[in-house]
Amino acid sequence: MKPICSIFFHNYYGNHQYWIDFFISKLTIPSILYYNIVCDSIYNLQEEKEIKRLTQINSGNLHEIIFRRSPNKGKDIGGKLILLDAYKKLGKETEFGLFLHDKKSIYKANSIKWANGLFKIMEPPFQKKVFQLFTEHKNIGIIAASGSVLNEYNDSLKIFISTNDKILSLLQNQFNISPGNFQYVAGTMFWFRMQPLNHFFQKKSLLKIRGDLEVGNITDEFSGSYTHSWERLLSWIFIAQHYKINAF
Amino acid sequence: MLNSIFYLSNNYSDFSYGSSENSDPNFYLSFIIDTSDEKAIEEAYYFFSNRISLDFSLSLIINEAIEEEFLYYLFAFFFIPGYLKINNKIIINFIGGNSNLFNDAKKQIIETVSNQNIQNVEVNILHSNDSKKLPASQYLSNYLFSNLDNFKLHYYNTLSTPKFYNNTFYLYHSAVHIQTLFSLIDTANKVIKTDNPPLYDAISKLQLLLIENSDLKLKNTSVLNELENYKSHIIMLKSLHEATQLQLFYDNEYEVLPLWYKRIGHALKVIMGKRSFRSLFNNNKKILN
Repeated sequence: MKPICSIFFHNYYGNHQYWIDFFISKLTIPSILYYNIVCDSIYNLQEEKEIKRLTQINSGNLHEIIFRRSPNKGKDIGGKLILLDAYKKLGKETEFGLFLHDKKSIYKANSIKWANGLFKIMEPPFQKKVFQLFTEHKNIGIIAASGSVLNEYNDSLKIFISTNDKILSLLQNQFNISPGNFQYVAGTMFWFRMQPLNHFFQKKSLLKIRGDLEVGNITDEFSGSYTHSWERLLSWIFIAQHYKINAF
Repeated sequence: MLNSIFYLSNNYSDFSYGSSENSDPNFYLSFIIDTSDEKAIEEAYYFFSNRISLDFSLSLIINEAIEEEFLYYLFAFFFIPGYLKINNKIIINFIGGNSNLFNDAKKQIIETVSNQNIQNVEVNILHSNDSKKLPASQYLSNYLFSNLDNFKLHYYNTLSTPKFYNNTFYLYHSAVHIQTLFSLIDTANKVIKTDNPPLYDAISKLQLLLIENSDLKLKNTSVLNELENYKSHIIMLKSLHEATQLQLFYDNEYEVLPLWYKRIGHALKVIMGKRSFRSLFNNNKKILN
């Protein structure tokens, strides 16, 4: 059966065998796994030689693994842009997509709970409901875990209550993204339809966009960043094309 | 191998053969792409994407100025796991074209690729014109051989010089088949191996140590980067800590009040019996209980 989903997974903390097993055990639909490895992460240097062996694995619904290796730039957003670029160039089109990464916000007290909440989207019952919703509601573009959908826009002040306010306005103008509302999926782990992303990135260079993202393990706690702004834009691309975000 | 050899080919079957388990760590395969041939670039990307167990680099034929679109396509190759790195440097070869084009393209690649957080790129500009026999004495750095006799002559000549090891030779695939090349190099290297076995062993060990050193440098950089990450995490944790919040509250709510207001507050404490009258004049003893 032809793969119907492309999974875009960014890995910083290594443990590749665990993650491959994770996808084999959880996937309920035929999929291609695009797997980016941060090559200058100390966690990945230990497992450098493993990659070639892992590429041979295909089992169950995991039809193919396409690896990429990249230096840390734009955190998981930078990695996901590289994977989307590979998807675009290889022409292995699928109807749906999934963004994931090995999230560990170790500076946050509730990081484990936060990560577990986001990873529930990989549970088989969740997946079943995702495809049911995508089939029944053609206007749903993104499906995420409940609690991960945020909106920082203050209607009365006409600004984003975020350190990223200025960059967000700048990027919106640069890429002509005018969403009806400013909901976004925090953490960038969600299921989505590929078509709106294909349409948006058709004439744009994903690697050029990655070029503007920040280097290293940056946060937006104190000042804005292009990386965290693109975290928001990746959702707004759908809303601007009249798709909705659903979360449960 | 005593010396490194780049085998430049646009024949996909060479890559399957050259990346076999028998190949030497100093033998590198480089795929020839004409930068103006979009279809060939797309085909090569597809081929190497699907075969990450093949190690490869790119040798670019440059006959016109490089466009931004091609530049970013080129960078996409660098993220394929099989793309060649020597001493943590991404390797690209240039062939054809003229020196102005080469220099512009080299500058363009190095400047733009840094925005992908790729700092180490080595661009080798190769020269080739060996239709006729070259004099053996001629110094041949970054020379692309397409004539096997010339290559043999210069390889043997190099072996008889004091700097007979760790040189790099570039060879065009039409000169010789990979299998023949391996046996040819092996025969040539036997001259050193037989004449001076300890020296041959020492060079082999040196080559291994150079690789190990390069790996360790990379690990060192990664550890330092991770240390910086942890430092920033600690700063962030401190900024969110209760003690910091308390201090900020004190500084903003009390410390900013005028001195006369604070003094009235102290006088009130004395009147209410929370503080002794004497303590007002003693900096060390302010609390009654």
